[in-house]
Amino acid sequence: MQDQDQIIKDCLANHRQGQEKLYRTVYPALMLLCKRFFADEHTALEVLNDGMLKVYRQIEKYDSSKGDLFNWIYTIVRNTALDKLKRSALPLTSEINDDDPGLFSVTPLNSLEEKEFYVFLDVLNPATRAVCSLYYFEGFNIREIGEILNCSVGTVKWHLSETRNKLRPVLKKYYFK
Amino acid sequence: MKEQEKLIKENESPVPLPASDEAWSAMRRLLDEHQPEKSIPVYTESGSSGSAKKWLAVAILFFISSLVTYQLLRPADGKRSQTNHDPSKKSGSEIKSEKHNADFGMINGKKDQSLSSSGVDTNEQSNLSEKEDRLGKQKVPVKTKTGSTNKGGKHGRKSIGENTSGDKTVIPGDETMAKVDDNSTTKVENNTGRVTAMDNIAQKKTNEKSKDSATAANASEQKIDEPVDDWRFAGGLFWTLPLNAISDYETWSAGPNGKPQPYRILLPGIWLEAKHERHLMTVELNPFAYGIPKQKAFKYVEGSQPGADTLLKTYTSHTMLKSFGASLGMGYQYNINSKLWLGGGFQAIVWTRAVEQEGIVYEKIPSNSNPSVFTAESFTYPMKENWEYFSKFQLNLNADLTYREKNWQTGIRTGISVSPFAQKDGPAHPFSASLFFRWRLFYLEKKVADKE
Repeated sequence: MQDQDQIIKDCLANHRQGQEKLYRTVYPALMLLCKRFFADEHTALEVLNDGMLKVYRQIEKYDSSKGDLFNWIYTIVRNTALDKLKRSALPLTSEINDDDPGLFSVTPLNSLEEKEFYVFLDVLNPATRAVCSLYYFEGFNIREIGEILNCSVGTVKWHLSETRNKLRPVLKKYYFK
Repeated sequence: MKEQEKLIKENESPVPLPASDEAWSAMRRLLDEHQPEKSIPVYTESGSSGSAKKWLAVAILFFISSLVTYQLLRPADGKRSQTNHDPSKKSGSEIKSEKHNADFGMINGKKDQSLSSSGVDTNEQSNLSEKEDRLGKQKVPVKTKTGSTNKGGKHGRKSIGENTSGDKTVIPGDETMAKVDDNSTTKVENNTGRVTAMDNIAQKKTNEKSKDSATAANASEQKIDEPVDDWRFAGGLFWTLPLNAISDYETWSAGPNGKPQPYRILLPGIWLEAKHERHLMTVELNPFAYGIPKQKAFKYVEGSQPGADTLLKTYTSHTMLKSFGASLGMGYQYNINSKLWLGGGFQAIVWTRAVEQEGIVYEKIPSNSNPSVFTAESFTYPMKENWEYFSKFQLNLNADLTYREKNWQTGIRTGISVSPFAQKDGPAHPFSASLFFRWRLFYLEKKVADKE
């Protein structure tokens, strides 16, 4: 990011110009992040802006020696999205008690490109979409996802299984004819 | 994460995203709501910051209140002169002095010169003697030319001066005639015993004139609005109250930041005027001008966002609520009645800031057979990106009806923009109506040479 110091100074002074520059810089990446969790674009934007508001309010806490500014912002926005997911009460579903990690080791999703992945995410319901994004995009393991979303490991596994079941017909249609 | 950083660098997205302009607009609204921007911060010694504009507003309010207080508490010029020179309120020493002067005048058989030392100049004395002569022979046309009668108190001295003239013939019965005069004059006359009947009549007229001018505070100020030959210049502060959208408090009181700032109505402009006979030219400068155009949308945006099981359609309209800037106006008015003036003029305005309202109607169209659901919301915020839809310069033609009093004026103004304001849609030629109030702070007079 160019002029990062100046942008931070402007944000600290609550100047709209600097805030706008920062916003426009990180917007594409963060909007994609939010879209992974929320199918509704309006909700995704709302979450992104809520997260950015936190960024502007807490930017004095940013310490450049601890990491990159973008990573710091990314973490805040992602946590905002996860908070929103927690508040939106994920529907309880039947659990899968099989702890065999091999169950998810081979998945057709691995063969998808990022662009295609976003298209197929719309097939999933919001809770499954969130679990899928956390698992396949954000790299969280099942236990961490359970902790983030306040649900059991079995529930997370069920959502991942649901992801595969939902996407299988689509993948077969487009990729495994 | 590296992919995201790469995305930032390349500014590419694998899927279509909402325009960043719209996203930033929403973000800015959120910021304005939760974290308002402080404009022109002023740092004090203690480190706390404030708004320079706020201090400026406070200073202006203080200045105005000081002026108003001064105007209210200050005795009128005429009252002051009345107090100082009212013949009926002369001190004993003054009366004695006048008596002495009268006697002195009698002895010398000349016009009493010592009176000039009591404040009346010798030129005036000579004028007085001329008038005296006329008073003794004919009816004096009492011309209340304001420029020359701005000496209410001096009239009182005139009467004394007239009465103290030495070259008078004593006619029996003078005392009887003198009784009809006011006390002070009578005392002097009785002492001198040299006033003729004709002089008494003239004296009476002069005293009446003197009384009129004295009791009417200041002749010049009292008759300021009467058509005269002289040029008069005045100036002061003025305030306007727009009648457009007066029932809509949110719009009417909105400040440049979109938040209510009702105190802005107290921010004044400056006016100057030049008057000659029944004609009046006015110049107005208002650094705090604002306009409330008709609320007509100038921009429409329609969008759709496909979801998992619904299609969300948005209909966004942008409307200008209020504009802020500086105005310079010139006008001409003609006296149609004693205190009513009718006229018109033009006003050039440069708009620098504005407040717009964004209204959004959401239509959720479910994929199943359920009917659409409409919801609406609106946001008010400072206009920054949509000035391309408006002209920042505006020229108005106005018509004014003014009621003028001594120290203040009030009236109504209607106007219409002759230059296009909205460039495409929206209020192209906004109509405005406002009440105004002017407070006179200074007054100058340039006399025209007396034709007599």
